[in-house]
Amino acid sequence: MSLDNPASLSDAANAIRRGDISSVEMTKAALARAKASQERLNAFIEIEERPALEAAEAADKALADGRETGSLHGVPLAHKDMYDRRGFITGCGSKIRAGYVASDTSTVMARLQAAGAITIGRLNMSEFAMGPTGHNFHHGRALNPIDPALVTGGSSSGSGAAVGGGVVMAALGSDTGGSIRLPAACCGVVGIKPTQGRVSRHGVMPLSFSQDCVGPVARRVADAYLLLQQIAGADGLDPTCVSVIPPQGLTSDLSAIRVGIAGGVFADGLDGDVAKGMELAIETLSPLVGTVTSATLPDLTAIAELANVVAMAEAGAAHFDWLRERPEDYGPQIRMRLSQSLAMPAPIYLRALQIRAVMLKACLDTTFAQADVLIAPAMPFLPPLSADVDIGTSPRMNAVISAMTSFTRPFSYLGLPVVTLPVAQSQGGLPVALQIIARPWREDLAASVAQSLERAITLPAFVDRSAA
Amino acid sequence: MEIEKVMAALAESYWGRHASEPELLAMTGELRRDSASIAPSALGRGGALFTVEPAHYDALMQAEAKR
Repeated sequence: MSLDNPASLSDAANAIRRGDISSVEMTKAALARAKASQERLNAFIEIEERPALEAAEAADKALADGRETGSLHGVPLAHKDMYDRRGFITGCGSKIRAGYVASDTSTVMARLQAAGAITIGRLNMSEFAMGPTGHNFHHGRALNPIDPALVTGGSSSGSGAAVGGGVVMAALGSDTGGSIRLPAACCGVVGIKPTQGRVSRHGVMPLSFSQDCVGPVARRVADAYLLLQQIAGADGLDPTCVSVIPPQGLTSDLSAIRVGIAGGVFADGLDGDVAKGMELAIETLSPLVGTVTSATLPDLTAIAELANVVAMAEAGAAHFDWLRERPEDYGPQIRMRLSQSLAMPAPIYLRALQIRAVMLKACLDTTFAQADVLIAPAMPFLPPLSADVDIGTSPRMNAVISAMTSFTRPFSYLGLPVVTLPVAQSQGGLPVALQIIARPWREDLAASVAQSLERAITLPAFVDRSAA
Repeated sequence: MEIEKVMAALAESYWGRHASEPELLAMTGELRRDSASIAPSALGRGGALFTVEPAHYDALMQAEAKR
């Protein structure tokens, strides 16, 4: 880490505030990293050099003028290509929206701007945020900073690659079935999927309105949580964004925390490295928390199909007119997935929503009566090879893609907050990631446990295996 | 085969166009999976979901917010 690429968001903001470095200098360095990394990572759809430098100059002037500054004042970030900013393109990683210029600014981007953050570009993503691998027919896939042969995870592929590759300290992603957690898991960084309704979706590309969440990807838990605090909270422009207590501060006192280990489908057939990582995390957590026990989960049979029905029925409604008018403008994989929506009769969609209410109640009454947080792996295996999920070339594609989301989708369906972080490194230098799941609105508990785990497990840095 | 015809008719009726072969494959696959897993869900047996509304989920989340 260096002055122009500090270890944390707070360090960056403090360095600018103290005058150790200007926002322009830090932003120029981030832009240089973005440009230099593009061939290796393909993390950006667009690098916005001029507007970023203008914003950085304005930030430096505000500081010089003694005006009040936010907690991210002058700090360069980059975000998934799906958040509206007035006068800028929101392309959604697609051909269909590639030239769409937003007439208004999304609430999340407005809040980051109010906090003083600078945006240096739009990050790559799966087309319309559909796809857990990060493949993109139009822009090419973002490449995993640890090994380009591996997927980055998706759909927030550029967010995972840019943060994991050290280009920016943090980025916004979105999560409907694992789209923050999977890139975090594959790229060795931290991701937070907030509670459904915690963060405004105003001006955010819709995929599945009842499961979409905006959240951060960052190097460290504290950074991810700081970013969440900036964007969270009620919003009159999004009536589904709930007015609840804002995210609380983190604590290192976990002595009263009851940890439940998710068993059953979350423990069967794990890759050996993932199983070892889970064991290490449990061993490390045990002396830090009150109790560690096996969690009692409701019957999660068919939860993957239930979550998919909700997601694709809602996505099918959002995309209905384009599916009629310009289906050839979708990438083949996305067009196939969206077509599923026509095979879901209304009673099946509503049944999936009814069952969601029943499962959430069972979870609250039983699972979270016995545990404050649950832990589960993020994926049953290490980050897969891109070649195993390339459409039309791998007979294993469907099986690998389904398995990738099998541990993340249940918590999207239930709307629970989840923090994902790396807890181990395989012999081959790949990340093993854990999910920490809490009751609704208790991101603070999940993040507190995650931060303690992060401090207790000192992982070596993930390095680019292709450079060896 | 019959399912594929139904799916093709849905596409023509609602989208006003023919479904491509990959689309038909995805649609028939989806119907088969959902009919096998969601339709017979034990959680709905005996009318257990008769009075459950999707809004109950939002009510639970709201109640949690007030805890």
